Amino acid sequence: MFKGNVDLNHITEEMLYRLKFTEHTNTVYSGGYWKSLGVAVPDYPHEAPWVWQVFEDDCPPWVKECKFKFPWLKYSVVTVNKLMPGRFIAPHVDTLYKLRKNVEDQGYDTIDLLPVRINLFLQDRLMGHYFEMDNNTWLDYKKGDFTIIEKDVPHLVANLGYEPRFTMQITGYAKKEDIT
Amino acid sequence: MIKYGNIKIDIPNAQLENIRFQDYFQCYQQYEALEKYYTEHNSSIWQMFEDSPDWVHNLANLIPQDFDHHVVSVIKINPGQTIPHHVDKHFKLKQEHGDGESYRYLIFLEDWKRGHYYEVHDQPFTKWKAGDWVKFGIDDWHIAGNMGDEPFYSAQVTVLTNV
Repeated sequence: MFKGNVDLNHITEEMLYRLKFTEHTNTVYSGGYWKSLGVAVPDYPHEAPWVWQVFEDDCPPWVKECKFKFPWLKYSVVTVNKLMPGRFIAPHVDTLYKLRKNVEDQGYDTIDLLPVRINLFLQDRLMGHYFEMDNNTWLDYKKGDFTIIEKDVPHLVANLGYEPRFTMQITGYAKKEDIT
Repeated sequence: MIKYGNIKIDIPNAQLENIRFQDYFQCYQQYEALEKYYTEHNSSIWQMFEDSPDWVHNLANLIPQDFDHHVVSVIKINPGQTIPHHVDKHFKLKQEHGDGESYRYLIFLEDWKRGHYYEVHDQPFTKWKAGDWVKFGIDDWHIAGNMGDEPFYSAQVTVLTNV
């Protein structure tokens, strides 16, 4: 698992708690992951697989400015996720379809570039907060730590604690050498 | 002090699936912050105690023999369910056998599967092998949960040493 760190000391807990989330997304179908495996959708309790999200256009300036921490990432868009206690995003893969479609529509040059998602932790890991990718876990992350989620790599996140879990996803195109 | 170890077990998945659990209940919330988020829908588990199959009772013979009395149970956590942050007071064991030092051996019955999670005293624990155990006491806060797509089976041997 790729592990990096950027300085996010300017981001306070109050900034996180003041974010306005515009979407409450149900993830039970895992973006078609279960279908692709040919298995039934797990019988998760209705209220568990939900995540609050706010996307690029609705994010405040301080969120969008985080993109500058990753100058090697091209054509990037940002999302913030808030996972409440007892909630999780079940195993899934990111197809990065929206990004790829947008780049294609705009006619951007993607030669030698890969579509990737940066998962940026906005808090030190708190009790019950969980990240797992490709059967590897990251259980001691700090605020500002990030990893790279490549297209079609299974991962899941969860919050089994009692405080909200905030992460940022910055999705764009990168050269292989920048993410290895 | 939290201790870790391993016992040799080989329990086929079919044997776990065949356990006839009868008690399905919501885990209790030990402080207010949890009550807001954990409900009967996302924090309920299957558990079997003295009626557990013989092989569950026999697990008590495999762990370190550092106790005078014990009780066993087996737990099935279905996908999407969490046992929220809590401590165990081993009330039943002490009621039956008197006061003393008590601990719990949590024994993982299968190799770790994605989305299966355990944390004790702020120490996350994943990627276990079948037979791995964690021994912890009555003041060790812990959590377990299953965000994967297969049930999470564990056994508990709760032990008491009279003092």
